[in-house]
Amino acid sequence: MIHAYHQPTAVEDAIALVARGAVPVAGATGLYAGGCRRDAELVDVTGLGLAGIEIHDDRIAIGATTPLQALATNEALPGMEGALLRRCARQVASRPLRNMITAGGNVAHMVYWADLPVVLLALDGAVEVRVGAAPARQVPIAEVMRVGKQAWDGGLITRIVVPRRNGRFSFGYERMTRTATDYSLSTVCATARYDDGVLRDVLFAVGAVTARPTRMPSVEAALEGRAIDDASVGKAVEALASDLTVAPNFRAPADYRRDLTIVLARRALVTMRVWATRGEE
Amino acid sequence: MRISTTINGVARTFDCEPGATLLEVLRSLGYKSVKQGCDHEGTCGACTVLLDGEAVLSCITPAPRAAGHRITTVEALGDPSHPHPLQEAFVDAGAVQCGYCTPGMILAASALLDRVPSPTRAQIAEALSGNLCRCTGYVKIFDAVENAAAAMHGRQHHGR
Amino acid sequence: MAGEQMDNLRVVGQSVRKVDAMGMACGLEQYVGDYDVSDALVGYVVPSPYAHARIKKIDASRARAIPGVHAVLTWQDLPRNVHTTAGQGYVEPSPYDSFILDSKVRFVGDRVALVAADTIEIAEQAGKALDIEWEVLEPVFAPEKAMLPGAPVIHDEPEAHMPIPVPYDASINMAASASMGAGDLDAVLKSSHLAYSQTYSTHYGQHCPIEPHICLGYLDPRDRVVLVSSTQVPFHARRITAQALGIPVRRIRVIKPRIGGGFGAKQEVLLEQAVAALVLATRRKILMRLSRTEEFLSRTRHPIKVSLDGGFNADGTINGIRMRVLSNTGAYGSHALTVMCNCGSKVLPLYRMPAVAFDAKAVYTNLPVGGAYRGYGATQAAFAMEVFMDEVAEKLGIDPLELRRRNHILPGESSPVFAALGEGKPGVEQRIGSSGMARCLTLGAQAIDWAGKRGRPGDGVVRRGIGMCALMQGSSIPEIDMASVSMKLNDDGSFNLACGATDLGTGSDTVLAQIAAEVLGVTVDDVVVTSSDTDLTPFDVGAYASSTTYLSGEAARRAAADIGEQIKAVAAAMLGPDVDPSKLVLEDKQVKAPDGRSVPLGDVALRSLYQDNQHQIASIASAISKKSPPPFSAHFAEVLVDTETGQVAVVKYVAAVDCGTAINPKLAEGQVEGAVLNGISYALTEEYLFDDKGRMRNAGFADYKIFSTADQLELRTILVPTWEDTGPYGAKSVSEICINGPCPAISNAIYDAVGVRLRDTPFTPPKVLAAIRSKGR
Repeated sequence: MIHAYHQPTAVEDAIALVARGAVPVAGATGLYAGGCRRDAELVDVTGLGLAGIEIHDDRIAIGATTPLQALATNEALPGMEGALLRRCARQVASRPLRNMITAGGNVAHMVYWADLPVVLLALDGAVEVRVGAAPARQVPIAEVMRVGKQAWDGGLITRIVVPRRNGRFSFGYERMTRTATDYSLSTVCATARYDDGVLRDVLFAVGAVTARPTRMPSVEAALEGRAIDDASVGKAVEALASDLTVAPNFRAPADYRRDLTIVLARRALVTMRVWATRGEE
Repeated sequence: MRISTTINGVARTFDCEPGATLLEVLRSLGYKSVKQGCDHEGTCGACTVLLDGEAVLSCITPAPRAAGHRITTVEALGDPSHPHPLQEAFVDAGAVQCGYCTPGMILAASALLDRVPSPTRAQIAEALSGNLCRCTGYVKIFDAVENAAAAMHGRQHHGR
Repeated sequence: MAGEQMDNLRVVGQSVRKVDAMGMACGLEQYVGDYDVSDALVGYVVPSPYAHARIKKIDASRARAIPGVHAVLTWQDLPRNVHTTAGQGYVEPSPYDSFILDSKVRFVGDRVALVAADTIEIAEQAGKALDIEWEVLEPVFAPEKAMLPGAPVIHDEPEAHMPIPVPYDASINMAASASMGAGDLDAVLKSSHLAYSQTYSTHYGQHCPIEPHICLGYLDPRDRVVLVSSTQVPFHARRITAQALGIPVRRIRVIKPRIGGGFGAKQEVLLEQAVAALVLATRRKILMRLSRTEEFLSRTRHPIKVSLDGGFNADGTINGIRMRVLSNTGAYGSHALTVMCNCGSKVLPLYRMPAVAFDAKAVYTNLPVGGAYRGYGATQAAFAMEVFMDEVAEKLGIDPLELRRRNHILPGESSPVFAALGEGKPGVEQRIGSSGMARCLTLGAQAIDWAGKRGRPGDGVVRRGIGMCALMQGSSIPEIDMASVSMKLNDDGSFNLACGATDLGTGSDTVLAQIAAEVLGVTVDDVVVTSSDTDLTPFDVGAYASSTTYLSGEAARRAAADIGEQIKAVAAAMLGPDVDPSKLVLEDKQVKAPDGRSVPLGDVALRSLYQDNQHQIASIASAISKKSPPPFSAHFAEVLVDTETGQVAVVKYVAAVDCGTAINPKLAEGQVEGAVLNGISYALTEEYLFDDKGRMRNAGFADYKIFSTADQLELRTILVPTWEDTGPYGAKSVSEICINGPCPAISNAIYDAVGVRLRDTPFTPPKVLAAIRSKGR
């Protein structure tokens, strides 16, 4: 039974409610599934003015309650980061769900197949959290994926922050679903800076096939400082095959999901290579 | 809780439990066009309403969230004596079979045409992607939205 | 021929608006859940957690004591009247193996108890408060294992029996068995140029009507049980509910309002008896609505294994085919015999063959129950037959399209299967009247560019393929099913038409109005249709077996013709003493005489209601069919196969369909398009995923995938008109046939693309990828 539903307009009031045990609710898309029988007090965070996108020179700050549809259609989102955020948001679920699912919710809801966390891992993103009276602090997304909701225990996610890095960045993003609006069976995202013929600052993340969205350091190491050619892509894919731990589920055999992830990884890296080397002979 | 909202242009106040969904509240207020087809997953779209002009799934929308916002159900678009061009178009195209998905489908199309007067088929597909239909195979639904867009666009052209 | 006959028609053949479409588009039409249910209790079925278990003891006292619980019924509280839930005519050709509640459960989700409570939450609480002593039994899930000695016996209750004299043996889990033959198949196989054998299988699927099963029940002031139900079979629901509860038919009224799709799931008396039991126990209004999860566990498509042995000449003509069928009917036998028989009767006659044999069994397993699902056995067997024909074509070096041309049945021809294979008894001999099959093949092939695109997969990671199939179905169940329609004339020359026929979104109210309007020279607006109320409308078996246009439409035509004669008689009297009624013509809402004089229908009405020789001009007519003339269809699919992920996408699909006359072309196209898209997702993305205890893991749209607009492909419908003499205005049927095309057409297209033969549906990415890889080795 949900026994109370609060609709504060000030962030401080919302944080006070969360601190005493109220559950924050944004898009609410996962709230009622299974009948919502849990005993809870809810605090609606969509009235706190946390929606909206700010574009700074060094970062993109996405308000936590920004709907994914707003990300999907925002042509002003700059650079590689903006293009990748748009691509990711555009493919999530269906149109009405994108109108409802928020950027913060897609991180906070902690489902293994969530798309935005994979992209944030590959963009070295962070969540800005406010807990109690403490000032806002940024928690790297990798740490969030590791510790889960402990990253903002008793508090709120207020923003998603994506750094804008200088340099010639490109990305590859692949995912597979059974039907167009399905949730992902496997998601792969790679980003890197192309500098003087080699890749730098390589970030590689997978989702939907592991227990949580995760970076793959051995894949990154196989590409870091290397020319992006068949050999390095091959090594990267080998590293993935070796280190990928598939979390089994009923949707498809684990072997298939492993093989699929490897295929998607190769495709993502080839896409990244094409974009990185565009304009070259 | 007591919630004040606007439904189909009319100010309404209702009482609800904190955990109530917008779907159950709307139906109890008499808006029977809003249907239930899944188990509060937001996966079928029969419960679609417009919230401030955007399509949302009322089966997973907390009823209190309606406070201070505008809700639109298909009853607002038209009635048999004065149907909306979308309603006419759906009927004429053969896009209504069992009719259970139709209110949600028309609302999603309405939200689209409000933003994009002459949508491509890809845009129609995207806008209606949350509304399942098992009867029509969607073919005539695409036709209906295109025809409605043409009829509405034409009207605008002729200064009506 | 068809064209000339259509030229003189004014209403039939027009895509008039569906009579209820505007009301639906405005949100005004009423579905069961839209009735006033403010004072209704929730009806709830407590589900079984076990696939196979006995209820040794069940104590509901704690459950009954919960505030807000109004009734808890266990098997001990209800009469033990065995029946079938299959919505079929009496005597039903399905085993009587169901009780409203039993002391045994036979699949995960089966009924343990019924609860009436103030809210669903309280009802679920009551379910959890039942004190049950279970004896958990060994389940059997594999149909091959179910008939082996030592397999758990699922229906060991003494009452289970087959009400018609056909084979049934619950002790070996055999729910049905049938066979027929003509000619010597073994000799054929030995002596043919090519003898080929192969086995194919199809899988569990659900209809997924967007409105799940729902039923509202209450006692009227005369203590009659009124059931407002989302049903395709109101009259069968009335009869079977009466049987299950042991109350007389006269005490029950079943009303079907608008319903949100059925596709065969609602050709079942599933909720009505439970709701009626709760109504009688509480004397309150009861609303029982299945959740989406419960809908997946209500009724399904029978998974069927089909084995074919065929003998062919070098030119591809067929000497004989033997079809063996093993159908998994799940925990109860509803539709087991009839679906299984349709595997043969709706597929084998498509091709000319001197020898034919059919041998089929349906077995019980502890899994969800197979019921009636659009296609009804033809879907499963057409998959087998049409992939088989492609395989044979390849072996003989003949184009698959050409192989169909050389073999398909022609007008004037018959098949021994028609006479030999009915539904549990001999069928009905028939000769093909109308057939547009040849033209369907030609037009469909052109539209997909068969000659240009086939055999050109390309050499990229994504390969393209083209595949086709040929199909038939039936139109009604001959000499068994009956439809009736009544009409009366109103003051203004309009008519009320009452029919038992059940519009589940198919538009039958409109089609029947069009037929009547055509006969009577009026418009559809002049024919006000009331349907599917067992108190107010005459009998109709309901919406199944593709019978509504062909059979109920014929009843409508007869009722209209009869009332037309009465109108002409009165008009003749009004026009003068020497006017011959048989020379009068009904046109433009008037009765017209050869000399140019006319009488408006309204005047005829006023005269007969109020002024002279007063009587109600009215008619009632019934129809049974003497044959089941097949619609024919040819389907063509263009697919893309990703050879690295195994994912298959259909990019273009052409369905060329001969349904006789399309009474309403847009409605006919709508039936084609809906069936095709359903068939495509059934072929590619729909599946039941069970755990090792027989529980369905993916009982919701999040994990059971059907297509949305975002999956849309190019889907082209080509109606090929013919004229079926035995059908109203030349009509046959159209609602089922096209769901049978996608599985074989797509399998054949995948073969064209990547050279792998997929003989087991669905063609999911893991399965396709594994097949591609094992071919590569």
